[in-house]
Amino acid sequence: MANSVRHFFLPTLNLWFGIRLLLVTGAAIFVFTQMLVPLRIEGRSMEPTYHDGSLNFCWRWRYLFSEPEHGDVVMIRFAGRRVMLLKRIVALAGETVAFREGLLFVNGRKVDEPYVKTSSDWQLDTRTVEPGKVYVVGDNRHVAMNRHLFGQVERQRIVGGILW
Amino acid sequence: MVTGKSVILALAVVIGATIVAFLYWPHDKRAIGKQLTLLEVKGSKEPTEQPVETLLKSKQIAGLFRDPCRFTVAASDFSGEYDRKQIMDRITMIRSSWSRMRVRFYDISIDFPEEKTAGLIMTVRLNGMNGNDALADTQEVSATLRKIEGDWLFTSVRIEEVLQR
Repeated sequence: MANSVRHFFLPTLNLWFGIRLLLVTGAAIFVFTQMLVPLRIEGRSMEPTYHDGSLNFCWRWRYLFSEPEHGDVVMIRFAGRRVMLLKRIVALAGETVAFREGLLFVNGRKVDEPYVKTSSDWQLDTRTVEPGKVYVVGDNRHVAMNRHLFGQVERQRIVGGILW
Repeated sequence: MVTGKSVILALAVVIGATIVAFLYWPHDKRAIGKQLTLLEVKGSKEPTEQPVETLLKSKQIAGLFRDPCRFTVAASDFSGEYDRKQIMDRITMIRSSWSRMRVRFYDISIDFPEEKTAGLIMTVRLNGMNGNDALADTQEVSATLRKIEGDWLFTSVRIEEVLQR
């Protein structure tokens, strides 16, 4: 038993160990750059669902075989993947979006948003989401509308979904 | 007599020289990178910064732009050319309105569509304080630079519209 524990922590440096080390390193790099990208959330635009400073993962294969849907929380890239936006999809291409006294209306119907815990006074005239785009908003509507980053974004900018 | 040790030593010297040459050989991507680093350093501000320092930094930043330089803001359909003095005044005004400011560039991508011309795409992140208010802004910026008298200068800057209301 003591021998196997010692062997686990202090393995013999032979060819087989080198191969195992390479495989594990390669697998870790693949998983954490192409599948589950670690991320630290900065800012309060998705509160109370996601808090400033919390850690999570971007599940990059989320939309490999499916398309984004209403309510999905997605990562949106800028020039690359080092800084991304975390937002919730509220409308899809071809649908209309509006805010009246802080309430969200999609295709003229009020949307029930249990994830929004604060009241707001947002007013936004009706607009139609263009083809190839989705409409995203943060959960924290307590912020003044002109200080909140939201709107329609190209589908190709969605990097993946948040893991939990 | 050539021994194993001397071969390894020669290889180590060649590899070392290659790394040093790669790191210190002047080339255009590195020169543009230096301009961006200067922009990050001079753009950032501490609360202790004096007005004279603000003016000096604004002048240094303005010196990175061609006279005139075109600025475009896609979200507001705005586009206009500014000379260096106007750029300096605008930078001074923006920096003076923030008590603390941090400028960082991420995901920098540089290509050279033609000789002495570079295209640049990057994410710009601004963090800071305005009085007691914490402010943060992130934008995707694309720019064109030209090599003028040995220096890479911004000739056009465009703030892209990632989210369109």
